[in-house]
Amino acid sequence: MLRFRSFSLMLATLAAVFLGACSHQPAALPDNRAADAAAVQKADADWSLAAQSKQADTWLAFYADDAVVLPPNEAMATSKDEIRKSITDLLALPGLSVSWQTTKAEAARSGDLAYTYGTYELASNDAQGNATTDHGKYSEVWRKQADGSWKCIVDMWSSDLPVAPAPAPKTKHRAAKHSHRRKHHAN
Amino acid sequence: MRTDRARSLAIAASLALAMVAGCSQAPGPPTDTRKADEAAITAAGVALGQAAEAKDLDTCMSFYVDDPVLFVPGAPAVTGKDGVRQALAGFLGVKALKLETSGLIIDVARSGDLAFERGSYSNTITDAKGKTTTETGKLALVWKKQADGSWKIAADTNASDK
Repeated sequence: MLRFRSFSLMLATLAAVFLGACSHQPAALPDNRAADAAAVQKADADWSLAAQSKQADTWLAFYADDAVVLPPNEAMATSKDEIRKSITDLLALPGLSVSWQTTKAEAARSGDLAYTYGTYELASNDAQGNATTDHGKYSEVWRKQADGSWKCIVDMWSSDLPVAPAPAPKTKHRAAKHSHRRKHHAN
Repeated sequence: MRTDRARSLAIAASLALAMVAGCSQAPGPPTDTRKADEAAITAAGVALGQAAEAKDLDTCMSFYVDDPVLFVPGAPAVTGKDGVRQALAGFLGVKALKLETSGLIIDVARSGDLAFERGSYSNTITDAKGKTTTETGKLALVWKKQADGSWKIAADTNASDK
């Protein structure tokens, strides 16, 4: 009898434990999308401000270790050395002034990835020393780092300005996508 | 007595079983669907490329969300489905298209609601006069999972290599 009672008691206890375990089961993750999007947008704005220093190291600090840079008019930069060269060349443009503004920032529900896109303005001097201006759009993918900060893992931009005419324009295809033949690195 | 004990034992046991069953049905952390999501996005990208080569504008547009953005070099950002449709119509309005992509890498968020794809493209375009040109560049796409589980492009951004 005692054995049966204690067994019943044990089952009841077991049930209580399961109930407890149930209620302590991790609930759905908190929705931090708005805060994450705001954090990414702030990082993007900080980046544009930091770019005013025209220091490659300052700029590069916004990239994650596995970042890739997809600039216009040159090949994809996938290694740290390639990225450094691409950004150093950009920052070395004479009379450079560059800044950008986020149009949209959105984060995943899980808070590990996010993206931004927006517009940039760029002014520099051409080879003849004449002031030129450029403007365009950019898109960036961001990954949250172990320390909670957001770093850019994909950085792409392109000019809004029409393609510069080729020296001897035999054709003038105006495909909506990818018709691009800028002669110089204007952005 | 024995019957009572047996009954209480049975009740306790069913209770415990019910708890276990209830527990296993409680909403836990979401399942990791990233592998399947990556495969679905890859398939959607292939289907979009095939539709473009077939100059099937409607099918192409079915791979975009209702409020997409399209960034192409040498033109301002295109926003909205009508704008993207118009731009794509221009892109498809050539004699022939051969679209190739390479080195595509897809990053899916843990929550399976957002994903990012980037890589290289090579577009061979034959114009109305039969002249063929090949253009290479980079692409970066923002994909969003829809309510029906399909993946659609929210941002289609491109930069030419030249």
